[in-house]
Amino acid sequence: MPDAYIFDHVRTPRGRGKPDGALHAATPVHLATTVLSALRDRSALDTAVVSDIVMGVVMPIGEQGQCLPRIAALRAGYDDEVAGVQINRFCGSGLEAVNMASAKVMAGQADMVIGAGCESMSRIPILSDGGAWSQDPDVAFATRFVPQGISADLIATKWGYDRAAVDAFAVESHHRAARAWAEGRFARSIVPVTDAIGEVMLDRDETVRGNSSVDDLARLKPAFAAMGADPGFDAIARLRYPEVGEIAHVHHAGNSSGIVDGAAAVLIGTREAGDAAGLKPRARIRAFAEIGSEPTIMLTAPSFAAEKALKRAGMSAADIDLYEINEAFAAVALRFIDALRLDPAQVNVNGGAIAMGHPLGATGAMILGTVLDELERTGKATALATLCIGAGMGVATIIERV
Amino acid sequence: MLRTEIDGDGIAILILDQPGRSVNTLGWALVDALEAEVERLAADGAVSGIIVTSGKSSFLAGADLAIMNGLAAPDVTLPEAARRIGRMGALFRRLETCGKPVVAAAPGTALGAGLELMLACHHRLVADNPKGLFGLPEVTLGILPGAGGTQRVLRRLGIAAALPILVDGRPMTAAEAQAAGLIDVIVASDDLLPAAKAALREGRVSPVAPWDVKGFRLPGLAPTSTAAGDLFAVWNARVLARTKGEDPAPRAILSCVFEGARLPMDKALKVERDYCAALIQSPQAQDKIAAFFARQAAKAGGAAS
Repeated sequence: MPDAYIFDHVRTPRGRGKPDGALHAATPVHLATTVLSALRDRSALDTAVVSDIVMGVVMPIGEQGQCLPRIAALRAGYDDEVAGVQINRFCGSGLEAVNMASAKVMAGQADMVIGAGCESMSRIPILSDGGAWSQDPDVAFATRFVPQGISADLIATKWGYDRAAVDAFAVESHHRAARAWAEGRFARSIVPVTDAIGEVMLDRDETVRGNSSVDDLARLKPAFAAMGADPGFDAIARLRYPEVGEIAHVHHAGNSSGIVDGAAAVLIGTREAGDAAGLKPRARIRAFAEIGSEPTIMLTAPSFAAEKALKRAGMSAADIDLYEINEAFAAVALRFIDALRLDPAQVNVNGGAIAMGHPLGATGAMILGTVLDELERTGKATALATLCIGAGMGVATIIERV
Repeated sequence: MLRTEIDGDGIAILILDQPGRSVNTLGWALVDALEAEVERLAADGAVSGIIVTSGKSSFLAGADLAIMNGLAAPDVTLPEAARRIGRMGALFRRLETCGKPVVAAAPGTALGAGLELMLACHHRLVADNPKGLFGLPEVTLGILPGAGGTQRVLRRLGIAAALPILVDGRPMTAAEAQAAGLIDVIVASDDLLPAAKAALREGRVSPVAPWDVKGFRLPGLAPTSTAAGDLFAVWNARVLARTKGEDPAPRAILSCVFEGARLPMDKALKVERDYCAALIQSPQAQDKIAAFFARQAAKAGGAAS
C-alpha cells in the first residue's frame, strides 16, 4: 500500500462570520478558489496531476452548494480533468476530506488529491440545510436529540468543569493564538483573501483577543440555560444521564467556538508523484479513524476516535508530540485532555477555535496544517488532530514528519 | 341510524340518529350505512348539495368501543387494523370529493371522529349549544385522529396553529373552535338547518376542499422553511421532555404533521392511518381506551339510576 504524504497546506485567515466580518463580501467560491490557487501557485503545480479535490462543506446549499470543489477548481483555472467531490461529516468535514483524499492515494487509485474545506458561515448560516435529526419527530425522539450547547454543558456537568475552568481555558486559547500571530507561527500557511481590485480583505484571524481575561468572560450569560429549561432539553439529556442531576450551564459565546468564514486545502499524494512534481513531502499520514458514539452527549468522541487511530498506527497517546482538538466548546477540549491524560501544554499550542473560530467544513483541514507547522517550528515529529462532530461522531488523523 | 330527507331544492339532509341512544357514536354499522348513502347521493343527479346533521342534541361523539377494541383484537394484524381505520378515512375522503357541496350542521358536541367528519365537509355550522364541545381528544386515549383529522386541521390552520390542537387534544367550546378556525359559523339552534340550506342555495359552499385545488399551499409556515424546522424541533423537545419518551401518541401526531405537510392529501392520509393503527394496537392505548369507556359506562349508569 502506498503511503500518503502531505506536500503543502494553506488556509485563509478566519473572518468574523457576521455581516460586519471582513470576509462577508467574499463568496464561498472565492474562498475556495483562493486556497486552491495558492496551493497550486506556491508549488508551481501542474494541476493535471491532481485526480480529485475532496472538500468539506457543511452547508452545501445555495451559492455554497452544487459541488463547490469542482466549481472552485474550474474558477481557479485547474486542469479540466481535476474532479471534485463535496463531503459533509458536520464539524469533522475538513479533516475527513483529508482522510478521504489520503485513502484514495493509499488505495493506489490516485497519485495526488487535495483534501480541503470551505465554509462561509456569514453567508450560509449554520443549520440552514434543515435536516431530519432535530426536526423529524421520528428521529428526534429516538435519538434523544439535544443541541450541541446542551451536550457541552452536560459534559461540563458530568466531569465537573465549572465556569471558572471553562473560562480559563477560553482565555488561554486567545492568549496562545495572539502569541502565535505575534511570533508569525501561522505565516507559512496563511493566504490573504483579496478583493476584485487585488486589495487585501483579511490577512489575519479576525476574532483573536490577546487581552481576553477571565473577568471579562465572567460577565457573559450562559447561552444554553434558556433552551435547557424550555423546551426542556435538560430533561431530555437527563433521560440518558440521570446521574448528572441539574445541568450546569457554563458555556457561552466566549468559551465556545466562534462563527467565522474561511477555507483551507492540503495537497496529498504519493512520494513518487511528489518527486515527479519536484515537491518535498512535509509529513506522512500515519493513520486516521472515524467513530460514532452516544448522540446526546455527542461531543466526547474525539478521544474514542484518537484511540482508534492510535491503535491502528500501533501507537499510544504518549507517542504523540502535539495534539489539536477542535475547541467547539471549552469542555470538549478539557474532556479530551483528561480522557487521554494529556499535558495541556502539548494541546492546541497555538490556540484554537475559541479564539480563531470554527468555519465548519474547513476547520479540520486548517488545524491539521496548524499542527504540521508547529511540528516543523519545534522540530517535533508526531501530531494528532481531532474534532468532535454532530450526532456523536469523532474523527482523528495522525501525521508524522518525514 | 341514518335517514335522509331531500328537500324541494334538491338538498339532501343526512341525519345521524342511532336509535335507543342519547349520543351518536361511530360504529361499523354506521360506517356501512354512510358509505352506501354517500355513494347513492353522489350518483343522484337531482341532489344539489348535502347537509350532514344529527337527530340528537349533539353531533357525533367519536368511534365506539367495538371499533376501538376490535382494531386490537388478537387476530387483527397491523396491516389489517390500518386497512379498517382506512375505511373511515376513505369514507370521509369520499364525502369530501363526491362532487357536491357538503355542509356539516352540528347541533352540539363533535369529538374525535365526529369532528373529523365535520372537517371533511366543505362548510361547518354549529348551533350555539352551550354544552357543545369540539376537539380531537384521541391523544388522551393514546391514539390519534386516524380518519383525516390531523391532515385536515393541518391543511386548514397551518403547522403552527395545528400542533397545539392536535398534540394537546383539549376539547373547545364552539366559540373557541370558531376562533381557532375549525368551524365556520355559529348560529342559533333553530336556525341550524335553515342556515345550512341557505349556504348551499346561495352557492356559498365550494364542492372542492382547498387542498384539492391545484396549487394549494399550507397556510402559514412553508413545511420546508427554517422557521417550520425550528418549530418542529421545539415541539419535539417539549413533548419528549414532558412525556419522558413514554407516550408514543403525541410523538406520532407530530410525525403526522411533519410528514403530512410534505405530502399530497391521499398519501398523507395513509401515513396518518398507519401511525394510528400502530398506536391503537399498543397495550398503553388499549388500557387508556378501556379506562375511558369504563368511565363513560359508569357515568351513563349513574345517570340512569
